[in-house]
Formats: sequence, C-alpha cells, structure tokens
Amino acid sequence: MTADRGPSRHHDGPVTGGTGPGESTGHAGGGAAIDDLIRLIGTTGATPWATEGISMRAIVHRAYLRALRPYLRRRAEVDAAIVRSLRGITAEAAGLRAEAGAIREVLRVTEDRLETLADALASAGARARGAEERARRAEGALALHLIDAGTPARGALDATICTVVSRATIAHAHALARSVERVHPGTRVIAVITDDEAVDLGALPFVPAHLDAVVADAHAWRARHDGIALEYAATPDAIRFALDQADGPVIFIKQESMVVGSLQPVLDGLGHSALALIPHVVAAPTGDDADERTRDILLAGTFNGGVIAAANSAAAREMLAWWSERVRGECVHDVERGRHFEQRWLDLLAAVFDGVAVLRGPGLNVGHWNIGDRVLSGAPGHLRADGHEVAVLRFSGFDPGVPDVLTRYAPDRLAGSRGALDTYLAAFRHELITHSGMRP
Amino acid sequence: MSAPVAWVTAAACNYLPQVRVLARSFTDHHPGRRMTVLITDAPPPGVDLAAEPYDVLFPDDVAIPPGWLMTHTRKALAAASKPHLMRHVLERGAGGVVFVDPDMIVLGPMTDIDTHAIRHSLGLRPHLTRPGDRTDDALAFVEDQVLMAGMFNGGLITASSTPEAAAFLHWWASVQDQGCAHDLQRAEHFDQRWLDLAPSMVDDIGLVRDPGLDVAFWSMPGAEIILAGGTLMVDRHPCRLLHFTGFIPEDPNTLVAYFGDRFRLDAVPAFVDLYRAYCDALAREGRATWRAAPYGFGTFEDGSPVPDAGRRAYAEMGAERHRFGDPFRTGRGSFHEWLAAPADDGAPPIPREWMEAHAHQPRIHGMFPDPLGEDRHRFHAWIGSAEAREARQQPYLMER
Repeated sequence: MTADRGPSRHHDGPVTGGTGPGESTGHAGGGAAIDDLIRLIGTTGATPWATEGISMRAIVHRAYLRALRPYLRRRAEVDAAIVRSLRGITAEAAGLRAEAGAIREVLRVTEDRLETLADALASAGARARGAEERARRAEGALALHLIDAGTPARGALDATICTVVSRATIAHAHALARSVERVHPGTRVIAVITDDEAVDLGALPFVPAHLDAVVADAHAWRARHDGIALEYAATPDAIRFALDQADGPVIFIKQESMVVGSLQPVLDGLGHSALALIPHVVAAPTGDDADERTRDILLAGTFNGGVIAAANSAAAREMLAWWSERVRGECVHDVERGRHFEQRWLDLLAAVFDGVAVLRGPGLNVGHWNIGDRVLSGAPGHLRADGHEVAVLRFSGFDPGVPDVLTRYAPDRLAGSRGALDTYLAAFRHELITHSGMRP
Repeated sequence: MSAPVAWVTAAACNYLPQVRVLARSFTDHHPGRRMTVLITDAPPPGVDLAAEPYDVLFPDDVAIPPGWLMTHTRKALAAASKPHLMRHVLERGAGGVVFVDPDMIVLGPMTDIDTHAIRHSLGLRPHLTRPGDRTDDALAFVEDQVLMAGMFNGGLITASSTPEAAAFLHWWASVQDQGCAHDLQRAEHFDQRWLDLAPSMVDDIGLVRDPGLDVAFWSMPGAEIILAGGTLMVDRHPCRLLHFTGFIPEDPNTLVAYFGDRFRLDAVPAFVDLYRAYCDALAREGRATWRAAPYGFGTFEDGSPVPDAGRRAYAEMGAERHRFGDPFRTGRGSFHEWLAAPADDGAPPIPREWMEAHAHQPRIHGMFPDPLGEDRHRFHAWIGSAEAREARQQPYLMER
C-alpha cells in the first residue's frame, strides 16, 4: 500500500493552466479521481509500463483532463458570467446607496424645514390666539361699554341683593355687583364667600361676608360639602344672613348671572308673600327636544334656584330654616333619589308652605333652559324676552375658555348668532377674565 | 248659578268593588248625586251597568287614542286616562271636575271641594300639607318618597273650565302618549310626577290643604290621628276622604304593601275599624272574584296574552305602527305576527318580543348579556322555560 501511495503524490507537470479560480478546483478534484482510477486498474506492485518508463499516472491524468476540458470551459464561462453579474449588482448597489444617501440628505433638509415651519406655525397660532383673545377682549370691552351706555339706570332698589361665591368664583360676584350697580345704582350687594381663609380682596363692588359669619358651624359645612355644592348649600343661610343685615326684602341671585333690567317686577311679584320662586319654564317646552328638556327640568326641579326673592319676615325665615335643615346634611346631585343639590327642595318647599309666590314673567330669569322657547329682542340695555323686559340673564354652564358655547350642559343650544345675547355673553366673559385674572 | 261639579274616577274591572264602594260613599254624603266612572277596560261581563251606583264611560267616550289600549298596561291606562276624563266632562258642560282615585272612600260632605273646583283653574293636593321636622325618620322617609314620586297626589285633582286648565289637561295627556310608568331616571312616576310642572304652566292653582282630605300614609308623620265621637280626626279636622293607597285587603295589617312593615295598621288604632269596614265592603262587592278579573285589553284576538314588552315595542314604533291596523288582530301583517318574528337572521331564532323584553328588563339583560351572540343558544332555550313564561307578564319597569 505504501508503494501505491508513492506515485499518487507525484505531480507530473502542472495541470493547471492558471486560467482562473475554477481550474484550481478542477485540479484538486482531478488529483483524487486519478488516484481512484489507478486503484481501479488494480495495479499492485510493478507494471510492464513502469519498466518501460511510461508513467501510468501521467497517461490517466491527461485522459482525464481531456474529458474534463469541455466542462471546465463551460464552468469558466458560467463563473465569468456570475462574476460579471456580481460586478453589475455591486455597481448597482453602489448606485442605490448613493441615491439613498441623497434621499436621506433631502429628508434631513426637509425635516429641518418642517421643524422650522412648525415653529413658525405654532408661533403664528399663538399670535393668532393672542390676537383673537385681544379681539375678544376688545369685543368684551366694547360690549360692556354698549351695555353701560345703553342701560337706563332705575335708581336704588328697595332690597338687598345677595349671592354666594368662593375665591375661585369671586369674579362672578364682581360681574353681578357691577351689573346691579348699572341698573340699580346704590343697591347693596352682599356676597357670601365660602372659603375658610381671609383673603385680601382689594376694592370690591360688593359687601363680602365670610361663611363663618353666616352659619354657626362653617367648618362642619366645609367638611360635608365639596366645591360648588358648598356654595349651593349655603344659599338659604346666605339669604337669611342678608335679611338680618337689611330692613327690607332680599333678592338672591346665583353666581353666573347678570342683572340686565329692572328687578322691580321681582319685588312686585313677591308682594305680601314670604318667598317668590321662578319656574324654569312658564309654558310647556317646545321643539324636537321638548320631551328631554321637560324631563330634565323635572329632575332638576320645577323652580330655578337662581333668582329667589324673600320678604324680611318671620315666615320667610321659617322657610329658609326649613330649607337649610335639608341641605345642611345633603346637597348632592342624585336625581333618581329626587336630589338636585339645593334646588329640588324648592319644589317641596312650595308645596308644604303657604305663602310662596310663583312668578311666571318670561323676562324675570332667562337662562339656557328656557331661552329656546322665548323670543329675545332689543338692543343691549333693552333686552326683552317674549316682549317682557329681561331682569336677570343667567349664564349657567358658560365657560370663558369656550366662548362660543352658551352652556356646557347643552353645547348645541343656540349655536351661532344670538343677537343682543352675544353682547351680554361677551361682556360677562370680559368681567370674569378681568376679575379672576384668568388666562383662557 | 254655575253648572254642577262632576266627581269622577277611572279604573279597570279588577277595581270594580273599590269603585262601587267609593261611588256609594259619595252618594251617601251627597244625596241625589252620582259619580262618573271611566272603565278603562272592556265592559265587565255579567254586569248590568244601568244598575251600578255610578254613571259609566268607556275609553272611546272620552277620546282616549285607540293606540293607548296597546301602548299602556292596565295600570298605566287607568292612571293616564285622568286628563282625558276630566277634559271630557268639562267639555260636556260641568262647571268643575273633581277626580278622585278609585281606592278612596268619602266620609263627609265635600261641597267645599266643589267650590274649590269651580274657583281655581287647577286644584292640587300636596302629599305633605305642612312643614315638618326632618329629624323625624318617618317624615324624612315620606319626604324622600315625595321627592321621587311627585309633590302632588294624583288621587285628588280638581279642574275648572278655564282655557289654562284645558291647556294643562291637554299637555298632561300628551306627555303620557308613549306610556305611563314608574321610571325615576326619566322623572316618571305614572301620571303623577308630571303634576310637579303644573305651577310652571297654570297661574291659578289652588292647593287643597285640609288635613282631613286624601288621608294616607303620607299624612301620618307628626299627625294626630284619633277617633272623636266615632269620627276619624286628622290634626283636629274630620277625615272626609280616606285614601287606601297601597293597601291590599288580603294583607290587612300592612297599611302600604309596597313598603312592607314600615306602616302597620295596628300602629294607628283610629284606622282599624275603618279599614276593617272597608275590607268588608269590598268583600260584599265581590272583591274575591273581581280582583282576578281578566283585562279586556290584555289579549290578542286569538286569546294569547299581550306581553308588556310588546306594549313598549308598539309605543316606540311611532307612526310606523299604523300599518298594522288594529293592534290586537292576529294573522298576516299583524302586530302580533311582527312581534313573534325573529329579531335577526341568526339561528336559533330570538323573537322580537324577547329582544324588547331584554332591552327593558334588567334581570333578563343580566342573564343574557349578549342575546344575539354568545348567549343566543342559552337565551333561546330559556325563552321556552316556565320562568320565561312568568317573566313575560312582568312589567318592564317596576310598578307599584
């Protein structure tokens, strides 16, 4: 076996023509195949040819190379084609890479430009909002001026006005007091403030009174009632407090209101009664949403708690004490249990007590709940509802930050132009922003 | 001299004994006068109406819309018919009308109420006639009930022939056009809660405050209720109109069945003899038979019961329902057929009636949250059960 292996390691001249990488592979494979051929012939030991000096291995090698030549040529051609393709692809990839780089550059430049544009837009938006707000403020100031100039003063009212606010809603007391001064100059306005800290309120158009002066256990009231519920719950005691500070009757006007016309009809309606209440509506609601609005009113209470007149009498104080007893423990919104903060109790009050006047004048208390049923007319200072002078405009649910929506409770109500009402809305917003320092 | 005042009530045949007792008690104290009763039902079988102690009207006579016989349950039809009945007698010349609930008895002369009915456009009776101390649990309970059910009792209402009274009665009828139920979320307590809005619409409302009238559980907190010389006195006023609201003669010690043990008859000794006498009078008038009287508008033409869910579906259809013609008819193109048809194309089929019941009965909704999807097979199987047959006749909203 050792003798057989000797020749197999013998290289009889170069078999590779150095034509390319394919041939070197052929040579390596050919070497092994030649060894196999020699083994097949079965030579063991010396052969006749060996003695004649002819290399058996060289003969087989040549024959093999001859047989292999066409294949190697074809292989070389294929390899060359592949190489050409690879070179093409490589070139194409390089092109694409260059193109992608160019696109990336364009994108980067575009992004930079977009960023600049966005900054510019944001800045323009802020400027536009600022301009819009300035325009609204100017509009509000103009509206106030129009209302100031257009509203005839009627002289002091033989009554005290009272309201309830917190520090957060104190601008409402400003707006109310200024509107009272406009219509009934010299009429006293008392605002009960529910917060527990003395606040430096500066110069005020109303007489402030802290809840501590109004109820004996203000701390307990604050602990029981959250936020706006406390302001609502304080209503009966605020009215009683105002009666104690005055000789004559008191008209309570809830926050989110402006007096726009004479309050004398409210006092006239009170007459000799102890209390005067104003229903939300004075006729069946009409329109597509009549059923829904009717049920909403039933859930909230027949009488609106926004304008209430009280005589300075023992009978009125008894009613207010009865009302206070009921809201002291519970001033919640739970309509299925018949509760709507302080308001629903008024329905019961009017049923159990004699001496409650029901005022059905369409101008006495105009708000989002009845505005759709009434025809508003007249210029600022002379607003009329169904031909009756409007005494109090109520802006319940108005958010100065969303100035085009009359009330958040019914965002679609009276969308669009509302005539003189828009002037009052602009003026009311202006008052709120001026006196709360709010920046919408 | 003004035209006479009509005293009226309305009830289905199952309340015939109550109506008889009331009508006789009225005539006892007002010789020569008879009450007028709207029977919100088919004519009572086997009864000679001419021999009854009252004059009779039927829904057709007072212009109750025919659709109401389908849209309103038995209880709802009787309750909602009040404005139609009152308007009818006023239009026929009465100087005033006094509506009283059928479960009342008259115990004294009521001429002051006749006068009240003529004098005011509308006369209303507050449940609570005077202020009380809310720390009294019984009063707090009644106040809470009143806030939910309405300030004024629908059991005693007067109206005169003024235009504002007519307008109010018209409105009161119109708001009950789709039905009349107990649904606190929608501010509805049968016909009654709507009365809370009367002060919004009517200038001339006279409140009836005499503590001796419309005496019921709501009169009790803080009141002195005694017998004086055989007369029932409430806060020193003779009781002239007693209201057996919520009282079931078969459970005679419970004053108000839907409040359980809260109001016991033995807690008001002055009531005991009157309540017993009332039970006896009802028994004599055939209570045992009439309480189970079938409702004349309770079945389709073929005798199958009209489910409450069907009534609701019919009400919600609006004008579309006119295509069925008579809603009690059966057969091709009838409402009966529509109601029994599958609600969708899926299998197994779920009839429309049961989808309607599903929408309005929280219990059914709770059992089968996805009735046409995941729960369809279970729902379908349940519909055939005895429990479902029972539920079929349950009111879709709690009635009491």
